[in-house]
Amino acid sequence: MSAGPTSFSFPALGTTATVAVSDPEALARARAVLERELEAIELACSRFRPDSELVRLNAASGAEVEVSGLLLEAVRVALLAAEASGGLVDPTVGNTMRSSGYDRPLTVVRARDGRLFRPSFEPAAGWRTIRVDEPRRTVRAPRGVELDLGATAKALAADRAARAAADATGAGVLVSLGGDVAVAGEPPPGGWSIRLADDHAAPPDAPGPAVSVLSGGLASSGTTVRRWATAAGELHHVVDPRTGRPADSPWRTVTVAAATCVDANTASTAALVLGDDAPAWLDERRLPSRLVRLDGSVACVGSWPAEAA
Amino acid sequence: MQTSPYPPGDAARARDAADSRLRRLTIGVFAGASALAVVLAGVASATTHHARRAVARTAVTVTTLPAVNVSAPSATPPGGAAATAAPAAPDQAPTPAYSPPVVTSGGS
Repeated sequence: MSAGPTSFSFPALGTTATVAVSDPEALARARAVLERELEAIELACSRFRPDSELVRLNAASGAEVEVSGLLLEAVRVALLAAEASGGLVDPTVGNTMRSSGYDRPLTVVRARDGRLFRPSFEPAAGWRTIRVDEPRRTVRAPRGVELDLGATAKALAADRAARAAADATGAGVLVSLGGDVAVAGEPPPGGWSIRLADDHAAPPDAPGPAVSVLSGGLASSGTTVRRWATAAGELHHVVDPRTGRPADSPWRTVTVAAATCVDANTASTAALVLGDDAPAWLDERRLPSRLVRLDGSVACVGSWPAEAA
Repeated sequence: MQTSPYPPGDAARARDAADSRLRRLTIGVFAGASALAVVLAGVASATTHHARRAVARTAVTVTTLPAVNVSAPSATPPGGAAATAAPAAPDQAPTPAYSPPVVTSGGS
């Protein structure tokens, strides 16, 4: 029997990937499974890799495009997230992402002189404009509409990788992709302990609140980390599809626990966009949540464990 | 007292001639009506055939509808489980942690 979870972290998808296992002997195999999953998801869903399927789909000018099973699943999940959130999380924000300056990996965007870039914004075309033909494995976006799967593809990869690694190793597995966490298999005694912070890059052993989860997913969305400078001021990546602008939210970080990482990420992103109505929205869906206001004060929703003042 | 303008023999011939004209006129009217009925029946028949062809074309259009249905977004989530219209709650809510955290969740 092992002494406790063992983990390994590495850069991936423009963020940090971490795999942890309940049995240290399973780490190498679980890591290999995660790396394969990340390579596949990037090749299918990246907005920035010229050889990705998504880039080809976005360049199709309204034509129907045959896609891999993975991209089909990613688009399907994005459309479900849009439906589940009432359109607050919408994959058709690709145009406004690009025109607002987030058209390259964030390291490249930040290396430019943002003061010289004048951003523009446009409301999302709407997820209902996307057509998916399951039997023929095709996707069609209207001419001029670009998909951005960033809101859900990372969480989908975490769900898929955790499940596959647990199946492959027989161990309990946790996968975190930039703070979007999925767990599968038998958890370690006491569950998976997860620290909460505004930035996922904060060390796990630093002081601060932490919770334990046994199954499903936990995701955080925030407006303080993925930011870039422009002539119109600093922008962040959580877009309100109704306006095409960065969400003007009273929350700086929202963390949600759900049945899957995709569900958790959908809810945390929707809550940021929703603003003041987010606690009631989350509570209606019985989603335990933690919301951090701009001034740092915390609101806990549902059965989220209370924090010491 | 009123008397016939024809001699007795001529009156009988005039009556027979009038009978004959009336018979020919009746036969002519009957034949004309029959011919008109045939023409009208033909017109009606042609009109009905045209309508049937139109219905057939409509039916062909209807058979293309399933393709539209196929292209609608699927409601099947990953893993093939039943679709959910809202994010699903976890089996168990998070609890306070008593062991060292293995990872940090936050914005990225």
